[in-house]
Amino acid sequence: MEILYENLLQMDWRYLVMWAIGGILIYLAIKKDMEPTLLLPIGFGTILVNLPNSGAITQIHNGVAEPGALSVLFDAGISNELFPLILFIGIGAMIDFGPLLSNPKLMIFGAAAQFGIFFTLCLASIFFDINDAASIAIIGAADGPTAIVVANKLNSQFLAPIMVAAYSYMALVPIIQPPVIKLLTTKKERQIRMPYEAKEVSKLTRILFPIIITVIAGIVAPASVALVGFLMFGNLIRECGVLNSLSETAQKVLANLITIFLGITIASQMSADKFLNVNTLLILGLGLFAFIFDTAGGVLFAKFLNLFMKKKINPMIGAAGISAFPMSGRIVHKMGLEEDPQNFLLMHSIGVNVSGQIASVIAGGLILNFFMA
Amino acid sequence: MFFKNLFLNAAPVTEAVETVAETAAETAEVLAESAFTFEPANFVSNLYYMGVGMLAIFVVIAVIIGMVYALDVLVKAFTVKLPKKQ
Repeated sequence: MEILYENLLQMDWRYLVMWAIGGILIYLAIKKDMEPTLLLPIGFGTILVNLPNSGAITQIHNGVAEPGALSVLFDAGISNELFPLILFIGIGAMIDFGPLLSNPKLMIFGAAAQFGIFFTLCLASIFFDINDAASIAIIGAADGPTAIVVANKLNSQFLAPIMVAAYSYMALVPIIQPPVIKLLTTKKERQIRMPYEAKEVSKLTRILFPIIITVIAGIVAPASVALVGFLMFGNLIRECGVLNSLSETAQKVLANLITIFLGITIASQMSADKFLNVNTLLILGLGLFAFIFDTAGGVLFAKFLNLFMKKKINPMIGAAGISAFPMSGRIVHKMGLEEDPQNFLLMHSIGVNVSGQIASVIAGGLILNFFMA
Repeated sequence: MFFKNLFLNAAPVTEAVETVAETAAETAEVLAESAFTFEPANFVSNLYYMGVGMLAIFVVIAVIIGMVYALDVLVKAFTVKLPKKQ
């Protein structure tokens, strides 16, 4: 008889808290449509691993380790950064660098919008050792795979909260960015029009671009060459014109498959003993801080450039320099339309947004260069 | 333990009190384990990384922008316009 309730006796209040967290993530995914492809598997996985003696993660019984499926998946795909890198092939295949290539100057905003990462690094170092601080700061990149790779390579002990924060804040772009943009810009600035002059980009340029980026990033930040390389490889598949079926597979099947495994595998790190502590709250706060200062960095840099430019830039497009693609670009476009229904910023903001993707990977690489032993 | 007592509803009061005390001690232990450091001086000493990092990103992006412009010029210069087919 005891066998029926034996496991129930192992219950702990922390499990209940983790179930609630899992439930909130599932609620946000389904009801609020916030990054459902990731938050739903993470939410379900959180409940799965927080059952007493859960067989989904490795358990030690009488000194003998009994491997759990999620722990095996974690070792196979996340601790060696395989899943995030493969996901980058899919992301690269999804990105159209056309708007960026037709106006390369926009890339500078991608660089400016990485300010939050480095500023948060300084701030987080007050509370954490430098490797953990750097891993926490990269949450500001709004780029889940980069956050996983950096935190893993720097052996951060806070991988789980970092991953959750990175993906949650990506989903919260429509909530976090608009107030920051409004706070830093005047109505007049938000109404600045930026006519888009469509410029044809040759196929050769589109093909050579990913190769050139890989070489440059590889020389400057060799630690990030896998990240950049996989992203650009995916883009090369898309642009070469002879691998359409592979491009389609990378964009849909491959990306979906990896996303399923990535989400549920991340959850293997969401066990109560690892997640429920004061550090997690602090990490979530610092991640939000990084995100806000990335947005602010882009906007303020655009305002700074406007001091010297004859043809003014709408400073809102600077905010799209984070990696959350294409949400951030769309948010800026929508905000522009709200201020002036004839102001179409989409092509500019998407251009800045894809440059943010590249810049955040380079930022991740630089951080690895600084701190990887 | 706490849930065990609730479930069996058989533990004497003294034991239940001990269990609550144990749970409180466990909670305190969890909080103590998660205590973080507070070193404000680290902020200033790590500003170096912020400066170098931002500078490096701007330089890399500037190089990429230059390469894209150069690529555009080269592609235009070397693209031979083929006569339109009749």
